[in-house]
Amino acid sequence: MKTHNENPIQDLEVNPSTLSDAEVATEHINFVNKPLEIAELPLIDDEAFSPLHKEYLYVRLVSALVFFAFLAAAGVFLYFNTDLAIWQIYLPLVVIATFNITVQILGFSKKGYLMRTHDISYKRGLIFHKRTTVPLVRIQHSEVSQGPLQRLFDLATVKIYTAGGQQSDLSIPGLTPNEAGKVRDYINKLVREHAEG
Amino acid sequence: MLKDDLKQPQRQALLGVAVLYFKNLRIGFNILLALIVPIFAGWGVGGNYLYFALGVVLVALGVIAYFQFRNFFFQVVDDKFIINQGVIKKEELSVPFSRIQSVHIKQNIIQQLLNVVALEIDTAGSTQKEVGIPALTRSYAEALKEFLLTKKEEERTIDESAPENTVIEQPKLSAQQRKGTRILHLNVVDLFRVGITENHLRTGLIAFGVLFGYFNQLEEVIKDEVEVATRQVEAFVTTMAYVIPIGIVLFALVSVLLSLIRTALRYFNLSVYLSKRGLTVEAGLLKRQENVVPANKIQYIVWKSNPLRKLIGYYSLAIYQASSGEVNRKNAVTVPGCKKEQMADVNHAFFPELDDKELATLKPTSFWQLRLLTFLGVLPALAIAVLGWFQGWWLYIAAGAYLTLADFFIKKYVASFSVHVSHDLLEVKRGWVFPHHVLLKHFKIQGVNARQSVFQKRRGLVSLTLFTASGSINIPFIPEAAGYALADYLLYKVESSNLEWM
Repeated sequence: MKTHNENPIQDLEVNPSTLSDAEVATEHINFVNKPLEIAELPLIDDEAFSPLHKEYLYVRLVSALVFFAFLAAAGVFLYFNTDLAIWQIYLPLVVIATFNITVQILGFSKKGYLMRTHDISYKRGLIFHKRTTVPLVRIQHSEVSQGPLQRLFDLATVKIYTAGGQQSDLSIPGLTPNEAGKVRDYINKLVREHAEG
Repeated sequence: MLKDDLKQPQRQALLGVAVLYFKNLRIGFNILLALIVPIFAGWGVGGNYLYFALGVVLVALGVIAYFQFRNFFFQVVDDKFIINQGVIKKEELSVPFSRIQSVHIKQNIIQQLLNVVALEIDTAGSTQKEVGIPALTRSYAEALKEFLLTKKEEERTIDESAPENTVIEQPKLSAQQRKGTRILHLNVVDLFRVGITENHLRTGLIAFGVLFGYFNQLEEVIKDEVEVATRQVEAFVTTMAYVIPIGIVLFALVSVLLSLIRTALRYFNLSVYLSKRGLTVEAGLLKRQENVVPANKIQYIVWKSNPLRKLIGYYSLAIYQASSGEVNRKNAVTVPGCKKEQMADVNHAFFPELDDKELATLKPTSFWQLRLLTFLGVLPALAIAVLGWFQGWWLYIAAGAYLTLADFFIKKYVASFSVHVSHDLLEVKRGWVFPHHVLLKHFKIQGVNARQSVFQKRRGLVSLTLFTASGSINIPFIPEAAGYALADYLLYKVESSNLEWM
């Protein structure tokens, strides 16, 4: 499969300064050979992503429902204290809630993560699709977090911090605590090894 | 002794409860305000209930603080410092010793009153969630700081024993040798030229921000905020503003004057020294600053100019470097008044890859132009036209003129945008009126984001964002195939490089 960047990259993991001129030249030739180079690149394949656990959708739905239930309760207050008709209060709410929940459900299959030998990716978004990839050698540290709802469904989130700012920090939800712990430990071990050279 | 202690999970000082309580009070301030204001304003909304609610919130915050204290542990496991915290949402923060950049001891007003200190660990990461312990006795904090820094050093020496030694063996360099050769010096005439060709509109906006902003926070803070806010629209809006006479002569005069003053204050007697180790920039009238930029800390550089400066062949250099702590654009070291020679010197010293063969050139597609035109041209024009409905027909003409100009400049701006990829270097050139040329080595990239809206997907387009340790670089609306190939290529380059990004 083209989805796993294994050997081609590892073979190249030599310090350029230790290469002889001939080797540098060969490497250079490889890169000038553009069409082949790009075709042979280890590509990230959208199909190869692992989906999140189904229960995570329930987490999202329950938290959305709780949120809209609060709004609905606030609607009661509005109804008794203002001149607004019932439909004026609840129609927008129902529309927004339906839209939100539809997007949550349809968008769930768009969420996924991909761990490869050298990087980790997370994708999400139905209307605005985003895919963020962080090379493992650039990760600062990683941790596991678990909100109350996630605990209820026995799920956890792995957080991955980079030096590239908040935007490039990855947060992969919807894993089992066991998986999340494994990912974190694997990453932290690599980070440590990398730091030790 | 401390080392043995840390094998077991440790709690912070008991006074931590109080520190956490005040922190909670600050966070819960809005809730409290919602209760306190009605009480004191004497609104008749069930006064006693409000007192009761206030009491409940105050007690609840206290209970939360207690549990936060109970659940807060720190310890050392193997070669990591670990903090466990959280009441409802439990979390574990772990910092490998080798990642520690520095350790700070801090004291806010509450901590001063309680005679405890906070310990914060700076990890060179972007962890918005800071790794820290809110309440420790000073002696313990000092000991822990010492311990952590020693551990960090141990890790470092195992890490880099060889290169460290070679550095020590080198003969002591004189200050001049260390700095390298002087490549640029601005005399008074140069300085005047730099000042008079400043982006006066921006200076004006900054002055505006200072005047109407918070008076107690002086220029530094506001300037940066305004710069961030204006950066987005600036390239376009200032372009427009250069063409349409704004008509406020006073504003213009004040702006020019302020530009000159600001330039004199910041860049008086500017000298730039270049060596293989990095760049040293000395400048300033009242506060003379020496900025040393080590070569390996440079994340990317930007060459900028404006129409007036282009006329006299001036370019500004902005160097973005990695900093431990918050990632932001304030970290740029700027050198105005560079000519082609200095540009060549700096590029040659830090970006020899510029001579490499170019592998690919990418350009945003015209759909980007369409989108920019919609949001920056059509919508504002419509707004002006709607205003014309009430104010008079002449606004229709203004709307038309605005749209025509916007269309022209957006077309030019989009056409000027190009991305050049070579073996190890990425160049992003943009700006027709305000040229902006980014030089970034692939291995400095921290992460890659590919974005695709439904609209973009239908047309086979993708936008990329490249994250670095000093801000991100956008490549909008490029063809999907090329965009993903570029993302994959850059990731491959990062992952196959063993050069340190800082």
